[in-house]
Amino acid sequence: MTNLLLIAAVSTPSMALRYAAAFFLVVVGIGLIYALVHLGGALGSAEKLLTDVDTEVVPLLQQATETLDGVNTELDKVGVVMSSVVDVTEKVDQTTRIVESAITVPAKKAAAFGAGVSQAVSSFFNRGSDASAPLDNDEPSSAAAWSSPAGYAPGAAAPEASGAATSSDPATPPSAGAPATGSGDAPADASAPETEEVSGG
Amino acid sequence: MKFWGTLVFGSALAGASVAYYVRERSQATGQSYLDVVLQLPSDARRGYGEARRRARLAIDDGLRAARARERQVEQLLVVAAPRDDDPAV
Repeated sequence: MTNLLLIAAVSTPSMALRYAAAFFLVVVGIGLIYALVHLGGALGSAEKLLTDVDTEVVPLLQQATETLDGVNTELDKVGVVMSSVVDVTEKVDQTTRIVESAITVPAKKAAAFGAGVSQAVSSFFNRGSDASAPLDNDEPSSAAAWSSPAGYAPGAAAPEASGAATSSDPATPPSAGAPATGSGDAPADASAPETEEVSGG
Repeated sequence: MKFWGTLVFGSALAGASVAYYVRERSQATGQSYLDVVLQLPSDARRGYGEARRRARLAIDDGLRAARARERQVEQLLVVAAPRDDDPAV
């Protein structure tokens, strides 16, 4: 009896605590079970996701690798083509320079020759009796044209203006200022042979 | 035969030319044909000298014109040439 009372006296709060502890443990256990169940589900989903990724991404990576290899191969070809294009461009540039130098120099010389011949012919036939005055390059003289020997006249200013260029010329006409036509220059022309012969003699 | 034919033809042509010149000169100056014929050597020398003078001056003018034209073409080529700093090149 004493033992029972002792047990009762001792165990009453102890039993309460034990029950409380048991209840707490049961609640904690239920919570843990709930959490673990959810964790298991999450882990299952993650495992499934990883499996899907493993089954789908690896082929994609293989395809991407093959695509990159193809792109690299094409880029190598493009590089070769670009180097060829650069070589061709350099050759075209050299050829263009050669052709340019081969065309421009003769063209320049031809233009200069044509201008020179044109100016010389124009100067020869347009230079009148005042031929001692130099002509402008851009404006050919519009003086009296070179006449035929029958109509040749010494002219008005040629003998005086010819200066040193014609002073030593034996063909310098002595009858300066005489008109080209008419009977007025007959004596002057008649005296020309003597003068020419004396000066030339 | 060919030589003699050419000689006769050339002589006839020269004679005709001289005759034409004498007639024109006589009509232009009023001189007689004899005077014109006597003046032929001096006229020839005068014409030759005048032609030489004109030719010399014409050659000088031609050389100046040729040099000027060459410089002009060079300037045109320089202007027409593409430059390195041209954005369109």
